[in-house]
Amino acid sequence: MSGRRTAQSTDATIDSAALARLIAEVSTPGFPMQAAGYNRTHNRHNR
Amino acid sequence: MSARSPASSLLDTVLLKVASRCNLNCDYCYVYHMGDEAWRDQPKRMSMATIRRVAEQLGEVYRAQATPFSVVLHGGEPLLLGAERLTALLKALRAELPHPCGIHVQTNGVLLTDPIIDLLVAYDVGISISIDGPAEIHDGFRKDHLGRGSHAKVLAAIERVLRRADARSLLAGVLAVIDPRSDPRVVYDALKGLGVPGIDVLVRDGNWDRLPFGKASPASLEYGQWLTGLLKAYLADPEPPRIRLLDDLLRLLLGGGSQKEGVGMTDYGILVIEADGQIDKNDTLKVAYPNADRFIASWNVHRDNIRDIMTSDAYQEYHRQQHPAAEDCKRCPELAVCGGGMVAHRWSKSRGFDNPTIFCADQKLLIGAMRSALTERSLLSAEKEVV
Repeated sequence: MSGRRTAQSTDATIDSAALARLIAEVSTPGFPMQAAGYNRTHNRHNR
Repeated sequence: MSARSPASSLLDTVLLKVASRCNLNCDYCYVYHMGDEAWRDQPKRMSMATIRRVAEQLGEVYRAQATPFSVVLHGGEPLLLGAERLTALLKALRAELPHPCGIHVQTNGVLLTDPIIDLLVAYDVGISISIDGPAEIHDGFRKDHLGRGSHAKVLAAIERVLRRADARSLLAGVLAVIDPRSDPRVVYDALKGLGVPGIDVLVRDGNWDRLPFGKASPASLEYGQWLTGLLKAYLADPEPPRIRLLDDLLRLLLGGGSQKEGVGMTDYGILVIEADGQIDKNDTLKVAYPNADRFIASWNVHRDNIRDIMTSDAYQEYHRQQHPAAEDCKRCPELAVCGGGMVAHRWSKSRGFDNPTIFCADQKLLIGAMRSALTERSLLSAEKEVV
């Protein structure tokens, strides 16, 4: 089971840009609905 | 294991099958080449009367549920609708579904001309284009009806969108179907090289009675190994585009949420409206058996109300189907991340949808590799808790 990270735990030294980006996101309240361009990318269909 | 959010009647994605035919003939297509022939009974294009009725009904749904949702123009190839009807459709949809509702088109790109792009810009329509990687991989499957590869035309379409300052931001990304025999690094480099912001990858469809292309047995790991190779390239890239499937799984491991169906335990509400206005379940169910995506009652936007359908027992049963029912899934420590996979991939004739996904072993390999990558970076403890 996983738990939500806090903003303080975002580590600038993470050696993966993809992971650093995701950590920033899960530390942001309201993500992803408040993210810029959300309405252009939100689509649950898997095709 | 976290509990799925309460059953909901909210719609979050509506697929509009605005054209029932396609100008390509891809070997693996779940619409035309997985045994379901329902497309033959559909009109080639959605009529103006159906367009008007669909827009009205979706507007009613939006005003009633007060939660934005997305409409995806789909097919077949949706751009076969033609410029005139596409204009009418987008005008009608936007009048009923203002921002933040999303309108998207999932296209093979072949008909994505500048006048069509003008329309997509005018109505703020997100664009996703199907391309499987470099030409030698893409053209092996994505061919026209004369057997000619489509890669060059698709590449030109992507470049056309990216060249335009007014359209560039509409391009959500590309959608690639995996050939498990290919090198994931080669595919990643080719797709990243397109300069698109996002990539999504799809496994080839299959189930317990019909194994997916390239998968030797339920226990074999061809797709898991391919996706783990993709993960490695992705995590090592200093400037990675988005990869939706990997981001969804990693985000869940990090304590966030997922977006797409078949990942995690997020509830989703997907409906399909066919070219004649018929209302169906998620079309991906077609890969289980013919007409698996049909409701028993033949509902149509011209006769029936979508809001009534969403409160019906049949819809609620369809909605519950997304919850994994197999005992192996309920006991699995990875259920909160895996979510039991796509419903269609759980099918067997003997047990219905009461199975893990046919990609269960692949999913476990991939999620295990993700856990290792996070643990190595001290982002996840060995006890599987986020640090």
